[in-house]
Amino acid sequence: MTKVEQRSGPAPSPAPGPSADARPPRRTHGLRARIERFDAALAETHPATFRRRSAALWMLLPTAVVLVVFLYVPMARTFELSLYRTAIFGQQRLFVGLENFARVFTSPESLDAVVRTAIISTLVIGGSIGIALLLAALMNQRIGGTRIYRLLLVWPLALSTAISGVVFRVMFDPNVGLINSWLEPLGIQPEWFRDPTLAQGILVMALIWNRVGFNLIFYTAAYQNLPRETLEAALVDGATPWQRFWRVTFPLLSPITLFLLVTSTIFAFFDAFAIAAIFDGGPLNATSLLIYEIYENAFVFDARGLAAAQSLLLFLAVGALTVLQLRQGRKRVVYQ
Amino acid sequence: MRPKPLTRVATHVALITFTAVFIGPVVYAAITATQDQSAALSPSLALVTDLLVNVELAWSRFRLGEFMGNTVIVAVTVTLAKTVLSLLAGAAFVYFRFPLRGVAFTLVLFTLMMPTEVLIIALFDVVEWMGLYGTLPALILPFMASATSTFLFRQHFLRVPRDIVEAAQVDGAGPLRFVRSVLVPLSWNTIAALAVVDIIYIWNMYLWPLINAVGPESTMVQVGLVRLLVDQQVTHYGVIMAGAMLTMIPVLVVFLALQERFTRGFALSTER
Repeated sequence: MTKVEQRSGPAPSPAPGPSADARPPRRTHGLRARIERFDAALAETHPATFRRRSAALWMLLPTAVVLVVFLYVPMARTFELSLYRTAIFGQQRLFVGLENFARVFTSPESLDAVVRTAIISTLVIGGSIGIALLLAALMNQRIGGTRIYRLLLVWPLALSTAISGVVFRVMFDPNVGLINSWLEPLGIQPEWFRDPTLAQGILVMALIWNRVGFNLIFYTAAYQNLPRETLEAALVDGATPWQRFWRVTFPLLSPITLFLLVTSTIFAFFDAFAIAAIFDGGPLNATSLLIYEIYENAFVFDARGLAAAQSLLLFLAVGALTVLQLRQGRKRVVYQ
Repeated sequence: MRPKPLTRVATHVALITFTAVFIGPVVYAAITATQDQSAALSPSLALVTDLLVNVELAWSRFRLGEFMGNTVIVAVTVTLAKTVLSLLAGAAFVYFRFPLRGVAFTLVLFTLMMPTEVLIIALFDVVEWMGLYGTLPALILPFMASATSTFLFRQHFLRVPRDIVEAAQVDGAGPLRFVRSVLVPLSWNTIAALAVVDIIYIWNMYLWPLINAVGPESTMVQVGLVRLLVDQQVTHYGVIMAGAMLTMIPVLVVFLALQERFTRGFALSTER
């Protein structure tokens, strides 16, 4: 059995991460290069602890089975479906090649959905991260009462996204809702769910409202683990609070920001379905996001091939954004 | 150093404003939850004494109690299974050398980009083919493995000091005993942090639970509650909001209980 000859008494052995990071960055890119580099570092610091490889197999098997059966197989099947035009919910089908993909971009309704999804998602991602970061920064000014604010601000998070949609639907209801009764003295009574722009505004608002708490708990956790010395050094330097935030705090928070960018993208693309469905995608398809179109095409309009093509488009978008964000991150992210 | 008094006041004002905006809809829902039908049909903010009546109606007559039970079963099972499976997989990646380990790890990581919703049509086919459509297992099995959790457990194990691992080796502990008596006790913060994320995830699920909600035995509370708004002939706003309030309780309890561990658990994992 291989053993490390490095039992340096009571002093804690150096953590594996930093020693791997300390080496000058090589010019290799891509996921594979990263994993190879990582493997090499791992072999140095973590020689095989156990030699019975069959045990590793048994430990990985449950995860592998679930991922293959419920993710990889459906993924392959989605690729297959996207090449067919189907009827009677898949009972009959006709091979059409890439026709479904062409339809996603050539049919005006579908193209509208793509653009709509891009705009609404951008607003939701930017809004929920920006507001959470602002709140976390305000709460960390050593002003007291932070615990109370944090406790109250996570309440929306405890409501399921769908139920948030229900609450907003009722709140903005022209007849029984609170908002229009407040607007009555001003003499305006908007029909929130008949005007496309207003309905989109409420959709974006409800999604941001529901998500800020999630981003906030990560930012406050990250804030509490910022290295005190670095922050205090900046204080001694006499930097203004604004400079301190953008030059010291924000770069230190960037791993979390990056993580939240990826998770918020997934939220805006997929979890947003719940609220879009409560608004019936309307009025005039104004809140019909791509994921809602996929649901309708697959389970209402019996166009599974088109829905599969739209799914793959979303998959590519998620993949591309994830890679892009990780790549951006490697340039700018500061790891402690 | 504390900020100047003026800055402090301004910061508090800003925070109070934001907090009011954020809890406003929850407070509105809570007030509506106390109203009888006639009060709820007018946009008033008056507290009425019908809270318990509404809770009782929501829980029993509109079966939200049953649906909530389903959601809790799904949340608990998925969280437990995800923890065990991901912990084992994470440990396998750190403490063993085996062929194609890098490839296997890449394949696990790759699923980060495959949210179930993207595969919803094909997932429906797979689940139906397995004869699970319309059952609770259909809401549990697909979510038992997780790339995120496996990745974060692995990151956590990489920071476990080598001396502890070697001490266990000297003791002659097998892999499973090592996981149980060494890794698990060292991982409670990570386990708790992931549990918070998992429960929020289950609570927010909607598309798949909607498709799978064939009968009451497989309806999750988020689907059941929306149906109260959409499907009923007469909308009972007080009852709906009472139901909404009920669904918040488990998440708030879990969050309050695990808050500190969450902070510490993610402190470790985000350092990379």
